Amino acid sequence: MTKEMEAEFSQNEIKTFAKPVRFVKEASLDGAEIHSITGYLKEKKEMDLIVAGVDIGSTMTKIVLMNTNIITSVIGPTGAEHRQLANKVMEQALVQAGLSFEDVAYVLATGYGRINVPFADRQVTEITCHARGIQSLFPTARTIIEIGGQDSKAIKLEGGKVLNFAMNDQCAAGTGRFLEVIADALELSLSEMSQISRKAKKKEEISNICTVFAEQEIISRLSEGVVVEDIVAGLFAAISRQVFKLAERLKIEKDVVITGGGAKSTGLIKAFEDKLGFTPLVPEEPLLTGAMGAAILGREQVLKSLEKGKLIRRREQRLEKVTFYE
Amino acid sequence: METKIRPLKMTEKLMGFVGKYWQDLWENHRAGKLVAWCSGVSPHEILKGFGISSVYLEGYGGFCSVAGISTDLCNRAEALGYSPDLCSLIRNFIGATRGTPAPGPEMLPFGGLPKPDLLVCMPYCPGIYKIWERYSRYLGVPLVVIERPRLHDALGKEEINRIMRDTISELQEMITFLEAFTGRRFDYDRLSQSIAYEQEASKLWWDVVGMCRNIPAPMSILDAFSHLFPFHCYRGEPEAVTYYRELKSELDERVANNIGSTIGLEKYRLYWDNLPIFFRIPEHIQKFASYGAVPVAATFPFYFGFPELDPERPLESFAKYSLFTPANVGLQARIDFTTKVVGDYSIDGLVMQRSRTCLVVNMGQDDILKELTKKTGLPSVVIEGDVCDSRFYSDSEVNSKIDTFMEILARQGQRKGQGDDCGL
Repeated sequence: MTKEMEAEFSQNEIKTFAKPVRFVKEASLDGAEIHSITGYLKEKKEMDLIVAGVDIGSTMTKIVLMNTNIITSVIGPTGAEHRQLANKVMEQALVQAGLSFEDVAYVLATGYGRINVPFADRQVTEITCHARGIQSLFPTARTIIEIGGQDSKAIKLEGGKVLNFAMNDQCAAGTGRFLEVIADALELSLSEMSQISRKAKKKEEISNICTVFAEQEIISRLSEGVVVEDIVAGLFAAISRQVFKLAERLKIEKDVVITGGGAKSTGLIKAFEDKLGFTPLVPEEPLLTGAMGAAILGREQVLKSLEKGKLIRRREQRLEKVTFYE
Repeated sequence: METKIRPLKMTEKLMGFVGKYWQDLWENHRAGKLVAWCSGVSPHEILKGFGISSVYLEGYGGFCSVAGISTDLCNRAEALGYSPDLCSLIRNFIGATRGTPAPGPEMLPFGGLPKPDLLVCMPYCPGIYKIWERYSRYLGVPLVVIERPRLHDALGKEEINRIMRDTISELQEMITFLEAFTGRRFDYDRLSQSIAYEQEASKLWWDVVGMCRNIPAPMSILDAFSHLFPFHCYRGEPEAVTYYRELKSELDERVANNIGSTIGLEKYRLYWDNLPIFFRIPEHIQKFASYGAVPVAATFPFYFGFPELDPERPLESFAKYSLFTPANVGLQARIDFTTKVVGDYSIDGLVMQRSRTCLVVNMGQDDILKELTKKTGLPSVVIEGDVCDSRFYSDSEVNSKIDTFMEILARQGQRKGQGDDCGL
């Protein structure tokens, strides 16, 4: 966990919103509570429908609360000591928004920790959620590159929906973790790395794609007297090469959006720009696109069900800790 | 995860059939009868003509993987200095037979492999001779290598006929060698009988695989890989015929009653490319079933058996079997065959298993996928795995890919009215 990431814990302006919709318990079937907001459909109070998107990534837990707009968002660490604290992040989001958990009509979870979230109604993969979040921010996007803490992904969109995807396989090369390990080895913050890389005269070749061996390689280059800015520029080039290869499998098409925690590194974005030959689009807050997509998808699902007059099945939701291992 | 699988009764009998084979094999070995270790598509049927018991080594690798010990065995081979980048079936085999520390018979399926008197190699894979050469020296037993030229797409009829003649002549040379080695005259009638059993088992096996064309499919094709084990064990033996007759009969009954391999609607029918990840077969069946998806087709099961075998022309038809099997044909022929299978089985999506250490299957897999995508427009997912080495496999990554793939399939609503309504 870098200091920069720690600093991300919080923010986003709280926007005004109307009185929230609450689901009404109607019946019980197979142990599942069936709730309905059919009554509200008649009154067309779409604005009042509040949905949460929860993205539990390997490094950060991100939550977006939204009605027709984002109400608030919170980014908190998932890390080993915090991994069971997603409910705390949710509580913080609710406090920021001045809401209670009962005000949230639907919760859609995504990210690698999505499966055992006791307060989620549905789980959707991060690829689908990032795609939806990016599509809402950049409707012209055709290719998405997501550099997460634990993995990297390339997503190809067609008509705003996922056409194909590729993920890095069983290797930390080209991930946020890779960046963090090297940043630690160089005793630099991520933003310092980006600044330093701008001074590079050349990109020092980092040939090893294994994180551990790359770290060793960098240490030996330093001892050979190679300047740190050239090493960092070479490192960004190596990561972009690794992830670019993944996206090329799907055939890169404009517009290209780079998102995920890695997109916060301007040095890395510059390396991608060099590799792509044009400037990629980057969301204002790249960490949030998955959670935002989750919230949008959750909202769309509720509205679609309401349109069809369908009941939505909800289990009793508990704002409790995430149980990864149970 | 909710259980939705409808197990086959024959799965319960499977281990009985296979166990009996290994018991007999060990008894024959202890009684001083000859045992041959065979690799690739080796002519087990010729060995039967000399009363030699045969073991299919790649099949044994599958057993070890299913038993969950193959990664340990691969480690034991690496402790000898072999690279982890080598074929995991081979490393598994080296680990089981020479690994350090040596695995005890109690940890190996069926007590391990009885020491052979002979090695026979008609390889699927170009590099496999090398390991048999090493083993021939190590064990001090003869090695019979039958070259099997690949049937490249560009070969003409005359060239193929020449390759056929050469292959038949190699099979005849093998017979001559074995007559000298065993001191026995070759029993051609026994060969014809063996080829007849093999032909009958082949027909039944291909019928069994073909029944998955039915909607719903009576069996997952991943299950079919497990039911290949009797084929590996009882090459050219009546037991294989009995087994596949019973399996076909059970599937016939399912088809007649419209019973699928899963409980509930078979929403999505998948094509599975390459071998299964043996150490995860039940988990993968279950994972797909949780989405109402069933892998129903694969090309690999057709690598085994050859209904055109002819007891009247045993050597010629066996040569044809060994050369024309989909494992040995050119890339265009593989593409055409795969496209045909995908078309025949009403497929909704493609699952491409990229086995990390398998050169033979991986080469060309991307071309096959590109062509299939172009021709069918079907969505696909590539999952990284390995046949035997679990260190090249990650549950969380594969499950995540499958989850995403199923979301794409659901959204595309490949089959009318079965798409997801959540707007994904």
